[in-house]
Amino acid sequence: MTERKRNHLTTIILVAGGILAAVLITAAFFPVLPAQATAAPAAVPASPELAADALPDSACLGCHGKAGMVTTLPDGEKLSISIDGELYKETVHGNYGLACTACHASITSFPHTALTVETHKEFSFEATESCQKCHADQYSAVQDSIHMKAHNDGNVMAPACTDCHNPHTQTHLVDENGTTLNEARVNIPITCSKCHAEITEQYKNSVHGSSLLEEGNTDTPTCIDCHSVHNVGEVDNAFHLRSPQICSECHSNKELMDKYGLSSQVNNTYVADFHGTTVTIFEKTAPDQVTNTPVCIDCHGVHNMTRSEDPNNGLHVKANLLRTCQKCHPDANENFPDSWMSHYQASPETAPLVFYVNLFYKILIPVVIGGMILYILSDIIRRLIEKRKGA
Amino acid sequence: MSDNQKTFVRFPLAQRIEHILLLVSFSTLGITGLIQKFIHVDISLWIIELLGGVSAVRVIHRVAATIFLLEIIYHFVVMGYKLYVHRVEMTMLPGIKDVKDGFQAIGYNIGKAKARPKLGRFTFDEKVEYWAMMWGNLVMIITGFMLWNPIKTTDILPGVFIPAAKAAHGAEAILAVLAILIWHMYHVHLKHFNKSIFTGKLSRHEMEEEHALELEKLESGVEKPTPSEKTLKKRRMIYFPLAAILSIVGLAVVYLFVTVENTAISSMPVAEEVQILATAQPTVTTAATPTEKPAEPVAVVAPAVDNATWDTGIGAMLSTKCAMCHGASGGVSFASYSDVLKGGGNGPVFTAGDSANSLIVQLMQRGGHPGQLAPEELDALIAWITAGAPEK
Repeated sequence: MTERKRNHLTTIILVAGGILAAVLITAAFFPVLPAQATAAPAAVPASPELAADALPDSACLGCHGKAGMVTTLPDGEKLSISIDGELYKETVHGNYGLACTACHASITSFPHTALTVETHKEFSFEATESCQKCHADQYSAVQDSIHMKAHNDGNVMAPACTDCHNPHTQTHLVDENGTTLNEARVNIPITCSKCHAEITEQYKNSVHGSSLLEEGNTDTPTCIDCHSVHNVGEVDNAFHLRSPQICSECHSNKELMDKYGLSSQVNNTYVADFHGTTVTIFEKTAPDQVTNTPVCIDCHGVHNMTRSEDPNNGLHVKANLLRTCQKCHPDANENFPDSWMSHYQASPETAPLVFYVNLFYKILIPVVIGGMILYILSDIIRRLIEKRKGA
Repeated sequence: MSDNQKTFVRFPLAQRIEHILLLVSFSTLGITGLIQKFIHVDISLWIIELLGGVSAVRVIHRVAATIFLLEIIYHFVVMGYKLYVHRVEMTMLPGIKDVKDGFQAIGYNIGKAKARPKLGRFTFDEKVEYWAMMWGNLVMIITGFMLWNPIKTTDILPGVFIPAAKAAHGAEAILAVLAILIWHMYHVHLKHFNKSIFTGKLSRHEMEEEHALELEKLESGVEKPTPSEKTLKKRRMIYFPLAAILSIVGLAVVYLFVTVENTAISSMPVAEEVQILATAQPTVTTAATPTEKPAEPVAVVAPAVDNATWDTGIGAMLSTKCAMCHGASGGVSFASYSDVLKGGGNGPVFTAGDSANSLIVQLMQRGGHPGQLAPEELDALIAWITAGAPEK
């Protein structure tokens, strides 16, 4: 074989090998990750009109003011139609002077017009049209919610306005600045527990829930702080990817975290590491990406997050951390959890090896690159001088 | 052919292809790596999207790393062949002369030396680049293995080696890319566009400029005697099996690199074992909750006198009990005696003197009407109708 032929053969082997390796590795590593999209329904415009020459409340209370009045709906459900007029006056609606017919606008005389609904739930959803007259923003927000989606999908459990807010007993929820009152915050988990009892049970025992419900500490989040209030979102891939930012609203707040002796660097350090980088990229480039890369709640718990010192679940306890890693890294050994720096920034105390590697390069890079630049500059200047002399 | 048109072969085709493989894999590694390091720069996200997302970027990075590794194995096997079988000069090995050359070059640039150093086949700046790259390769391969296979790594080493490897991998990448962009770019593109790595050739003039010593050596005709075919054959007999073993070991290492561990599961972990919808109480909630305190029914307003007329009690009674509804929105009105006499949509309210055929009495006796009259009220009403329903 001549030198030339041998060279050609080498070339072919090299190129073919490269292509084969590329194809094989691509096939082996490319994950199949389907994408999902979520669409937001349009907001419904509101028209705040109240009935003008309606029946006086005394007319309604003439009958409905008696206790124990019950009507039977077409589906057989018995519905109480009694109301305590005095108690109503103390509610937010009563305070505002809303007459019965402001909401029950279809009632103009006796006998009342026949109901067009079959069930209580249908009645409640029909009534939301009345709520909309004054609460247009909330009504419109609800249209985007998972609850409304469930309703539209035919789920009869889906709540209407009145399932969370009893209009005949509802008191003020917000102060004059629109800030949710502390009593209201404490009541929110109770309201949600009507349908989400198991989750509320977990929340009650969590570091957040116990602080709110047992100590009345309103620094801690209640259901709506993470899930929003009227436009309660779907807990989908986009929510999963976005969730670190929700946690970060409090956990990156230095003033708030200092109060409890917690680090406000937890999100920064998360984003700087492999998991957080991946999630951040997904969130920015493919917000509804399906991924098993963990966000805060995947390690710390969803509704049952505990203090990091908690002996059973706290992640400062090494055995708990290893068990958490093993959820996704089943082969992980007991050294493995240390490959995660536990939200610490590398320092001589927390991760000396990482700190000194960084230091090494902080010196090496400027020295090497600076030296190269200096040499090149001297060479450029010398060549320019030579050129001028030569010309 | 004049001396200046004469060309010298600098890089045979195989080396030129090696360079292209390196060029492509290095650039790919640099780009796909740095965009993951600098995710807060818009252009990084833009490139990530262009390449099909971060998962695709990571696959591309690993494919390029594998090609890079294969190229390095090839490089060493071929170099071994040249050094052992052909006993070629180790022209890339750095020595005292290179240090002297470097100082002389700097000295010349700053006006302290009379001439540039005369340089051999590989100049001191080329050696800087080659050996810097070898150092870089070593760092990148070791740290790259750790990042690719963190579980196997932590089977042996403490966990902190993984973030340390990540720090080193990223910093070394910056160093390598900057070195290429600055040192390599200047010496082969800016100072003088040296195309020999693509064409394989250098002109005599270029040789004179950059490799004067090598040119002298080539033109002096004093070449190292080529070994006899017999010697070569003997050496090949020894080297080929050795090369085969080296290649197999090398490829096994690459295979290990790629396949040794499955770092994470590819399925979704269980986030929360809890029933999302679990009602604590019956779902049938009542919108109008029965109030605890029953409201007082409307007071009995029976006339105080016997044989009352409209003016002495009947009118007040009917206004209180009936006018609350009737009269506000059309239909029958109980506002005044004359209104009552007018009747409503269902005809006259009563027939004077005939209570049994009076609508109001029939309705009240049937019961269940809103504002139902109490028994004593009804008795007074019947008495009034029977008496002819007098106004006064």
